[in-house]
Amino acid sequence: MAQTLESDRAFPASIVRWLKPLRNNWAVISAVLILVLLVVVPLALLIVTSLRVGSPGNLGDWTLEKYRIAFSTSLVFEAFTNTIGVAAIGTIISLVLAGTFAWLVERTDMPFRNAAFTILLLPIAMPSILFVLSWTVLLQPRTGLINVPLREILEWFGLSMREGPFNIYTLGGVIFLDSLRGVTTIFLMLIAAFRLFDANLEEAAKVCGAGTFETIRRVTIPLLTPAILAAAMYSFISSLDQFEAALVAGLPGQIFLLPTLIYFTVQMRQPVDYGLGAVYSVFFMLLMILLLVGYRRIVSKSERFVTVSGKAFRPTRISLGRWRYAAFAFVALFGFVTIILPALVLGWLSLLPPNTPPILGTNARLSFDVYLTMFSNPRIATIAGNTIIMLAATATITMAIAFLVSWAIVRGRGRGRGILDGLSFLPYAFPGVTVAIALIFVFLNPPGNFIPIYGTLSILVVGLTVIYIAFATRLMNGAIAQVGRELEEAGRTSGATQFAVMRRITLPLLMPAFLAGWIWVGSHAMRSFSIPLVLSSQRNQVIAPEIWRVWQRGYLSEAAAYGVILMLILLPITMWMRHLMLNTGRGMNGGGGPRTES
Amino acid sequence: MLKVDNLRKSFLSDKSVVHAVDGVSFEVGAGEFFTLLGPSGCGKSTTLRCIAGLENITSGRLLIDGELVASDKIFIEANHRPIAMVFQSYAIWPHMTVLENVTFPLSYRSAEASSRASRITRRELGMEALKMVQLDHLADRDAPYLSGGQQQRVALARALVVHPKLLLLDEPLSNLDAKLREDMRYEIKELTSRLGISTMYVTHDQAEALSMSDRIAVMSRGKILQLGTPREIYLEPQSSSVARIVGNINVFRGKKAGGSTSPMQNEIRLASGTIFRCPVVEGRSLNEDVEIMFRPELVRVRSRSAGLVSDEPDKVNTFNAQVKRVDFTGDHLKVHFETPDGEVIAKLPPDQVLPPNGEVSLVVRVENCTAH
Repeated sequence: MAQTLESDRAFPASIVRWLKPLRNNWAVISAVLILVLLVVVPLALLIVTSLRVGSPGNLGDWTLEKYRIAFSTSLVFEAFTNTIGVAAIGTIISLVLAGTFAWLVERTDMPFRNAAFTILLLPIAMPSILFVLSWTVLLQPRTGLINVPLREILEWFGLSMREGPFNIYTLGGVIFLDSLRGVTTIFLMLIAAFRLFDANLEEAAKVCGAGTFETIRRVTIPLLTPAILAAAMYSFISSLDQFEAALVAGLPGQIFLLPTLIYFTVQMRQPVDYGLGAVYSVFFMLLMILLLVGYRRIVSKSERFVTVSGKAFRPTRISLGRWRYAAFAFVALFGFVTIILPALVLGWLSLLPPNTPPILGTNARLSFDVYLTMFSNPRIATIAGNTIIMLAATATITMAIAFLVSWAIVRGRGRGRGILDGLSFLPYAFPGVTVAIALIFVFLNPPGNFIPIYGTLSILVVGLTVIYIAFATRLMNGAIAQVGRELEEAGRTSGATQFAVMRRITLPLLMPAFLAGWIWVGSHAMRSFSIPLVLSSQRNQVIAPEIWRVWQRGYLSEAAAYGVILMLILLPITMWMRHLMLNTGRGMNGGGGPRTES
Repeated sequence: MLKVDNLRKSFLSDKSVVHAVDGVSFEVGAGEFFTLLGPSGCGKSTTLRCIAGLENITSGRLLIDGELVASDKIFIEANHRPIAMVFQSYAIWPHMTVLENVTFPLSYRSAEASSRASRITRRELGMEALKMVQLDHLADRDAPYLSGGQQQRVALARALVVHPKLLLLDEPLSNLDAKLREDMRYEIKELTSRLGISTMYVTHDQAEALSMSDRIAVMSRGKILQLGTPREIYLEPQSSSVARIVGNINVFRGKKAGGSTSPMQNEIRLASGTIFRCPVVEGRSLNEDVEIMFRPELVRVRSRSAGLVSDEPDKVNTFNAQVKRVDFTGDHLKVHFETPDGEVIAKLPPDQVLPPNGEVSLVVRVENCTAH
């Protein structure tokens, strides 16, 4: 019965008053509990571990020693500078590219605009690790597929060199890879802003006598500035956490970025030092959280600014004249560099016989042997099975939690909501590596160690859920807000309990959004890299880190074949997402936008 | 059936407290059609939502059928109150068929707990409810493929299927077009009185309130201004605010003058010096401020040449006016007149002839005036 008597005189009145909004509201309470377990506990253990002498399982005494060690060498500052530098330069480059592309697609008469939109989305089908690996083959200083012919050309001009001219294993290489990877996300965010833009505002300026250029300068750009800033900030935060390029292109040249420094400290160097890794992680997270607070400020401002009009009116497109085809060629070039070239390289690699170095002009016979042997290898079945279980479990659990949390945020009452909103957004600031090592601490130390999931698929699912919960909650927030409150209230006045209303009314109505989120989380979990890399052992291998491990052991053709198969699976999912986005206008990229980075 | 006792509901908004419902008390008898009428934001919908159990109350008491359902200590949730509700947006679930919508409450309302066992009984009860609103032929259609009026009927059927003790209607007609609205008014009234269900109706439309209700409570700013039958509310409003909420009104201000011409009449001296007769204002002494009100449709026009002298001077007020603006709306003429004491609006028959110079006399019967 839902009768509640407020006669608990055992509690002080202040506590009773504070708890009052929470009573009868199990949704808010359970949502807070789940988020505390998923978000606050790992964060707390990270901080605790950073203050202890020992390692997980044997923490030892409290100490500040690790902080002293961390900040007495220049390593962390170097990594900090590199990380900020890569993210800043990468963001500027991707912002300029993405801004140009978004403008071309939405506001000009560039030909083949739908094709251009598809090209700009396709990088989603190419997991970062594959993109990065194939570009190391292309720009390897000595044997790089681009470097070798380029050196020959330079030879004609009398320039003779043994290496280069390009070297992917440099800071410049990392920036190159990062900036190209960042374009799609910013592009989608800017497209959303362009589409929400009310063309009447521009027309009003024109009617007032302003020319096209004046209108763009005095109306369009000022109105879009918050959206552009938000996209830039968002991309910057994502860039800070980018891992694959830093690992594959940075580490061989001893170029540390914060994520790779953490990874190096807890996994690669001898002996590993978890405490030190925790210190770096705390430092890194602090940085991310600060930036996230800034991001939210900008976003809340831009939301106030954005002039949403339900009108399906399209503003007039600007004529590019003779440059129309050049503009499309520019987009096509981007597609060539980010998708076609890497995909060709991977395809070619996968056809090379094993143990053949990927050198241009090799006379090795190309064959599909590696694919044929792959399917007779039972290990593949295990990895495929693991990956499918992981993505299905992650997507289902993440969306279920997101549904509960969003429902509590949008429909709940009282004080819990603000906390929930903050808690569910916080994981945006969690770098993948950091979440992974935090989970090591959680599940190897008491009291977490009595749940024996370390080294299993479950711990991967937990880690990925933490990372994706932020986006999934944003998506569900929007979806639930669109379900009229009265539809639920009609259920209550028809006699149904809150739970029955959720089950029979809210959830069925939200199915489309739920499914879209499921696919988004699933496809990201499938290509997730940093979390499984840190958390996987022999028993819980999944595809993306496995590609990297196989590659490192020198089986390039096998790794490439895995990659080709992964891309073939991701391609239809990407096309489906494109369909979804084109049909809804705002698509899945309203609000915060997704982290396309894995 | 329903007893609302000093109900208060406050919200926190931007750190200031808003008293949406500020001490409202009334009772609804068994089988009564009771309406809360007021402008948007007056607290009428909030009052209804408190009764439904969709909002917790801040203070006061709510009793439905003698059972305490809300006080500062007790809060019975909506699904445990013997009510049914129709929402402004109809709130028809788009993922169900018409019949599924209508039978939904049968799974939960305790009175029909027995029918939970039998799908056939549920279907029959649902069809019966749909027949009441003449939609039984659409039972298996998906709910989104209905017109607004049909959705409205489905919502009504869904509310009536469990034979609730108290039916709550939250501006149910405001999203319908004018013609349909009039038909539905009659239909709802007919259904509820036939079934003998106590009904709580919330609207901002005075025509709905006046034509359907047994009693009306006029609300403004969280308080009930006047409670009474439609006739009382319309013809004897206790203040100009009430009069304005239930229709258009002309207001003259003046001071009580001496020398009643009859025991039932007062003389009021208007600002221009004109003497206006109106029913007795109790408790006012000489020279005190008095407000006189009369409805535009009770104003008559007489040509100036007929003179100001009336055949029954005791029973009418006659005064000069100048036509300012004429709005032809089809079924009547809405004429704005200028008088020395302010603007007067008259609602006249469409064939009313007005003199070319616009100079007329206006006549208002004393009994059609109210004064405060």
